[in-house]
Amino acid sequence: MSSASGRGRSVRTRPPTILVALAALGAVFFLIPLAGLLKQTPWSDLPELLTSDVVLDALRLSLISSIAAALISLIFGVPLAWLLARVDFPGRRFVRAVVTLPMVLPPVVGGAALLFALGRRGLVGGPIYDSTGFLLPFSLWGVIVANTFVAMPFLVVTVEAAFASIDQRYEAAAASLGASRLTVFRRVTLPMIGPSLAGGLVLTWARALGEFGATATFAGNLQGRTQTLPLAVFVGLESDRGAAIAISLVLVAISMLVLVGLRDRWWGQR
Amino acid sequence: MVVSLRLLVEEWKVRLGWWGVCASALLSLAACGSGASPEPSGQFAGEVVVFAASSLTNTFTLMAEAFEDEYPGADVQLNLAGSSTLREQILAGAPADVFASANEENMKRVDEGGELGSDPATFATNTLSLAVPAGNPGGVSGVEDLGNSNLLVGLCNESAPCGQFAEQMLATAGVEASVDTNEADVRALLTKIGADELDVGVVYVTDIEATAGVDGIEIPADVNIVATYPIATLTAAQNQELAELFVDFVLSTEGQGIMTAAGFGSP
Amino acid sequence: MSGLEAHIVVRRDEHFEVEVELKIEPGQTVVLLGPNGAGKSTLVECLAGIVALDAGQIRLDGVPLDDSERGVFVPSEDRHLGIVFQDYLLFDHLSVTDNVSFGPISRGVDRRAAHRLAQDWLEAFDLDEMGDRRPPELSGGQAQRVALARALAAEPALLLLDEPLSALDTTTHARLRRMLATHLDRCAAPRLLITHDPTDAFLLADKIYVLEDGKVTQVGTPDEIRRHPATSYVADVAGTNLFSGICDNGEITIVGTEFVLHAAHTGTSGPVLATVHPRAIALHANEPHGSPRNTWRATVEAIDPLGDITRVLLAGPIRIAADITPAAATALELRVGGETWVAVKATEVDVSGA
Repeated sequence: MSSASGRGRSVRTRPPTILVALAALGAVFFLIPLAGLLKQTPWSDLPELLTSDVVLDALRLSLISSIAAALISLIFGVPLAWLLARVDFPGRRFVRAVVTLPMVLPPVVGGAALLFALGRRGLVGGPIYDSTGFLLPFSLWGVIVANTFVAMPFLVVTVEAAFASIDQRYEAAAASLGASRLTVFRRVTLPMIGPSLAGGLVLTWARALGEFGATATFAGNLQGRTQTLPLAVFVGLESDRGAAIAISLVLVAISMLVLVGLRDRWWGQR
Repeated sequence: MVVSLRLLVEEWKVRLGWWGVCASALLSLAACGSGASPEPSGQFAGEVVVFAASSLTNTFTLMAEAFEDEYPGADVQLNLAGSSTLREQILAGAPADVFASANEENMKRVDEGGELGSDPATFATNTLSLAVPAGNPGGVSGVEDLGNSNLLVGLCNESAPCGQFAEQMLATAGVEASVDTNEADVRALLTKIGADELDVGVVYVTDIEATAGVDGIEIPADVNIVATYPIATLTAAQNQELAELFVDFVLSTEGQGIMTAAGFGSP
Repeated sequence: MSGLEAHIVVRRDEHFEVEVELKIEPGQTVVLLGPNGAGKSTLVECLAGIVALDAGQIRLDGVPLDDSERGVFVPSEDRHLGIVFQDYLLFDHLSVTDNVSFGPISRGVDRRAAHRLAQDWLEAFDLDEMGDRRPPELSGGQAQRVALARALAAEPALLLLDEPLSALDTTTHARLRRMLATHLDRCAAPRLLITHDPTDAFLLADKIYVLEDGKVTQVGTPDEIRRHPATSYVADVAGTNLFSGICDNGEITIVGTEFVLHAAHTGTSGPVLATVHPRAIALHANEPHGSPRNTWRATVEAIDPLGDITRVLLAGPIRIAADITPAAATALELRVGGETWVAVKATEVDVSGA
């Protein structure tokens, strides 16, 4: 679709050298740590390391918790984003600030806050524990909650911007055709923000996959129950560096696969 | 930030010689040439960077103050973290002058890395204790309760000395712990116990005194371990003499007094 | 009572209030003509159910849609409207068929029946090949027809057309206006078209409401409005002289007469619309000589003083209206039944495709 192709002779303009040089440095800045990781990789031991219980357990927990966090973010984050973008209620600025807070807060602080709120002596967790015995910390649910807490703001921010930027007259048009507000939302609004929603969802999932601080603080660290890939890396770096590097490679591989595969397809559509 | 500032100061010391030292000492709010120090000699002035295990947080803060009182030209910078984290930092070339570890293993690994400037000396011993939230709401009575799956049990993770000692102790006692979490270091573990989010954990005796909201339950001597804390100077030390001076101070009567007052054993 | 009856009062701010009395019979096209900022879009928003009235009421086929005194407000989705928007607002993520069946499905028609209905509408608008396309793949004319089909498929009780032709270039504009004129008759409901373009108004309206500054200043058939403009705005835009003719190399033979108007520049030949602004017409006591290409003798039919201008209606080979200053009218000693010379420069004759 680019204007250069299709009509006439394509003319190559030389990009400014200074921009190319700075861009190249920027790219190298991201490549070097990756190279460092690859150089340290014990390639011959890799198959054995990757199929060890620690890695397989962490991989399973990471996939379950990050996907669950992305889905929960979808269910609650989209309506929240819609509310923030469209409904002018008192305290909206405050709510928006609170929702985006986990993006700037150190995750450890978020984890501590979750513990004080949802732990068994917490503000909300206390009464729940006392009446039902249900406990979030030190369980997979705790990991999912920590992941969601840290990752959902990415979905809300992306989707809110999309809700705010689409032409609302399309919704008026749908309403005039007899569509109820929910039908308008489902058949017109949601499809219109589709690309942003997909992009936001990938971002949210990726953030959940890499979550460390809040998970360690809120959900603890136990192999097979709460130890996700990043936690396994942290523990491994100080005791078994080979395993830690192997796990890091797994994280890099999964993330690259998704980002390369989906980014162009979804975000490129805009 | 601290490191870069320090590098700047070091550079100026080289350029200006004694006057630079004087200036850096002034920077650290110590009097220079005012007669407050009986021996205003270069070897006693300057900065000494001490990497110390996080279980030494309180004692080494006191130790640094006492050392600076003794040698007014000196400025002690403390870097407190889990021993294994510190070990990795030292092996990666961090600018450290002294290393105080919570176990022999990490000191040995640093030695193997060729980073030790002196032979390690044991300056303290410690033993383990059960830690419970104040008032012991979980009704913990002894080591065998660590195997109770109805209680929320936390240990330090296996890469931290307190985690390794706990494993040894559990093996000796013949208890299979029903662990709910392996925390990154002893501070993180104590925080969760103090907040009553865990019923019981295994920490050092010295941590019980130092932490509010946590009670101790004694572990019998026949299953308990004795952790020894080694200290040594590092080859990376900018001021080897000052680093040795600090190590000697820790081993001196005054230094040992600080350790025993906090509940550590004397070697 | 069927059709639309509305008394709309909306206060936009302290200084601007829209107050309009409006009545449209079923099958009748009413055009609301007014300059930008006259309150046209406010009116559309009220009828569409986006803005509530401050006073007055809207009744459609006898059912109150909005009544400020009785506290009635029917939301947009329950008003049974068909709206064609300025830039059509077709749903780009849906196929043409799904766009057209959107209304019926929203009103509870089952999916298959709705698709059959959509298919019928697409055939009626010569769009039967387009059903699977997406709106971005359509030409301007096709998009307009889809928009109209979408509005009509919902079987509206009122068809609202909000500036449906204003975003178009001149050639497309004329073509789509013709298309609109033919297709509007498919809708038996009252039809309200909003525009600021007097030509659109004259060619599409059964009745014109002129809106200025939030108030209706004149109501009448296109002919009435053209002959007797009530304000200088109406005289300015709605009083434009409009002729159908056949153009051949700059010479336009006016339909139904032998009269020829000379136009300065025209690329088109064949049927055209020629417009001459009343202000571009000069009147002279004696036959003028010199530059004007078009001169003829005419009889004064009526003289309407409208404040700073005077409108003079002239009979002759063609009927035409001229606006001159009151001073000029006096100087020329014009009187009804008297004669005068008319002069129009060829450059003042605007020609567009019919």
